[in-house]
Amino acid sequence: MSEPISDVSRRRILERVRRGLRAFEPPPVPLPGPTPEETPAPGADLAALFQKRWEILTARFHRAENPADLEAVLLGLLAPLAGKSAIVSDHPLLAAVDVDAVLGRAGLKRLAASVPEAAAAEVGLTGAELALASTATLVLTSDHPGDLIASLLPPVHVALVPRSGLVPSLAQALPRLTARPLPRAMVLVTGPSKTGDIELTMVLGAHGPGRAHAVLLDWV
Amino acid sequence: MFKPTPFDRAVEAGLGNRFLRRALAHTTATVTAGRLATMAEIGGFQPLRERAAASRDRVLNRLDEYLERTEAAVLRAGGHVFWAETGQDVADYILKLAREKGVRTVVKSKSMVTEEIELNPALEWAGLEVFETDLGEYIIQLAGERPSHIVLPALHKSRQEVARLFEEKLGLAYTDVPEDLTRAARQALRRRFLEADMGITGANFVVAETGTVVLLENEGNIRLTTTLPRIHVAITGIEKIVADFDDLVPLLKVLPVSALNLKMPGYASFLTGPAGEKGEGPEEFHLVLLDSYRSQVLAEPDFRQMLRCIRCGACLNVCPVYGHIGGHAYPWVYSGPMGMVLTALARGPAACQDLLLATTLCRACAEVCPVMIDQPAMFLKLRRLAMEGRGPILTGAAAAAAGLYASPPGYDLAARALSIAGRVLLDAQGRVRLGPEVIKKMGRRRRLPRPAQTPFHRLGPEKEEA
Repeated sequence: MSEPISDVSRRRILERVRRGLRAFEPPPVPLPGPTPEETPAPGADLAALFQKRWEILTARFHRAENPADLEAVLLGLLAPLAGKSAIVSDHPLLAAVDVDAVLGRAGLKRLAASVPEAAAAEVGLTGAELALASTATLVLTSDHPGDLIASLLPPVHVALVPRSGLVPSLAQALPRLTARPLPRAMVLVTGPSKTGDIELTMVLGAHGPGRAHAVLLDWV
Repeated sequence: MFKPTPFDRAVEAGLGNRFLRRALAHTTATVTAGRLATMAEIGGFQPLRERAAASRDRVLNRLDEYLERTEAAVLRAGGHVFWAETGQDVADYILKLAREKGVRTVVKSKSMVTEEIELNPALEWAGLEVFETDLGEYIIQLAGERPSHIVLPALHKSRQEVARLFEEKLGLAYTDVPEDLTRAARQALRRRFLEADMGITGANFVVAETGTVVLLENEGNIRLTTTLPRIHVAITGIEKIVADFDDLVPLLKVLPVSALNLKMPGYASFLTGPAGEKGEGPEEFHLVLLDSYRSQVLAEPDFRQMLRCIRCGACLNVCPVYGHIGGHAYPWVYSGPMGMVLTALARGPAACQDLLLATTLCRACAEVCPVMIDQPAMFLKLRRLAMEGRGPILTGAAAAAAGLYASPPGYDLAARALSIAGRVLLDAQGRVRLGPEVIKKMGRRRRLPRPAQTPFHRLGPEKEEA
């Protein structure tokens, strides 16, 4: 959609930019080495670090050693929400349990993970591609339909996190994310939604989920 | 000659607002506390700011190439690119797009560039419904006010004021509990997100290599704005380009810490092109590249560094002047040290004489800037330019005074002369007692300290022992 007017503006802007760049010789920009990292000590317990930092964000951490464990964890999380609805993303990690059965036993109805139906859901179940221990950040992408909506619309978000996806920080995560075609959308989620816009008072659940759960899957 | 300027009046209003002063003190103290400790945890402030500044300069010094690279990448990803010389061009483009696509409702995230160009009134005047979705921006939109801080736009509003505002505009039963007010805003806006045809955002950064727009937030309104409506328009100044993801890392580290002392924002979105018809996201993506004053600033050796600015607000948070007068005292959408420089560059220094005096030259801003911008150096240059705009007599007089003070014997002479004059012209309370009426009137607003008998620089070592 290249409009004639935009072409003219484009040319004029680039001309002005080039003229501006010719105006003087800037000092050379140093080529610094790799970004200094807060590196956890070798052999550090990344899971423990993630848990500690995740919980500081007023978010809940759970751990499952195997699929049966996961089922129990999910039932525990979902039972208090009996009578409400859930949406579930397409993420393969969620295939570890019979999600429909779990929802049934917990007393929740399943809705389609797309708008407008998804807007009525109380809880969203997703996977996660990676987890950054140093900042307690989950990486979700558009590679698995439903991950983005289910981690955003409902007031409660439950994310399944693969142990193999736990890395120290963003510096280790980026090569993994950019080594393949970049997902159309990536979201780095660090805790629940929050705001301090009214008198700097922290309130959770401004627009996104106010309650965030991370379930670490030890066997994946 | 001594009539208070609009800026003087704005300053007086800010100083006289007790709630604002308490809010400013509380906010600036809270968001700056522990900043250096956090920076140390993530790699050290100095190494990070050097890398962040280098990332910015790398692009700014070859901005034409990076703009073309960005455009190519966005087009490859299936998006559209629009180049806008002025704010009006941006509004025209969006309105044309809205007409073509049957857009009636727009949801918007907090974006300083859209405040700069006054986009909302232009869209509303043309009949579009525009909803600000960031809680602070939503509050000031309902109140019809300007933001008073680039990161915390409604910090000047008490919870009672917000309660009354929601009662009046949303029909909400009066409550000043922040959780209740936030929930009310969430509910009111959730409907708008679901109905909106278009989402408009700014961009914290745009990655040239991939055409990826990077958006940082804590609330989730940006994610909703860029996921639910079928069209996403991201507006960015041409200076917000970053070369690649490696260059992005130091910036992603220093920005949330500098803004809110957070190691990571609640949500960081990386969006590359549209989701298409089947995808989970907008069908169409448009990137608007705005020049406005930016290409001119690029040409100035003294001022190109201002284009490194990543809008973190750290300089506002440490500025003693901003901390006492608040954002509304400043004439434009940007306030504090960065606001002074940007306003003077966008409007011309001569139009900003009084604004350029709103500094103590304490250099706190330069010390905290995560991209190593030297604002005070630019204040001085801008003042000189403003002065030169006042004509040769005043410029000559100012230069003469500066020259006199710059030489030790000249300084000595001036200090002694002023000491004598001061003790003749001022009474014991420091009010002007001799002189034309207009000077005496000024003296009623300001009392001058009575000069000492001996100038300070003449006090010898004996005084120290005493």
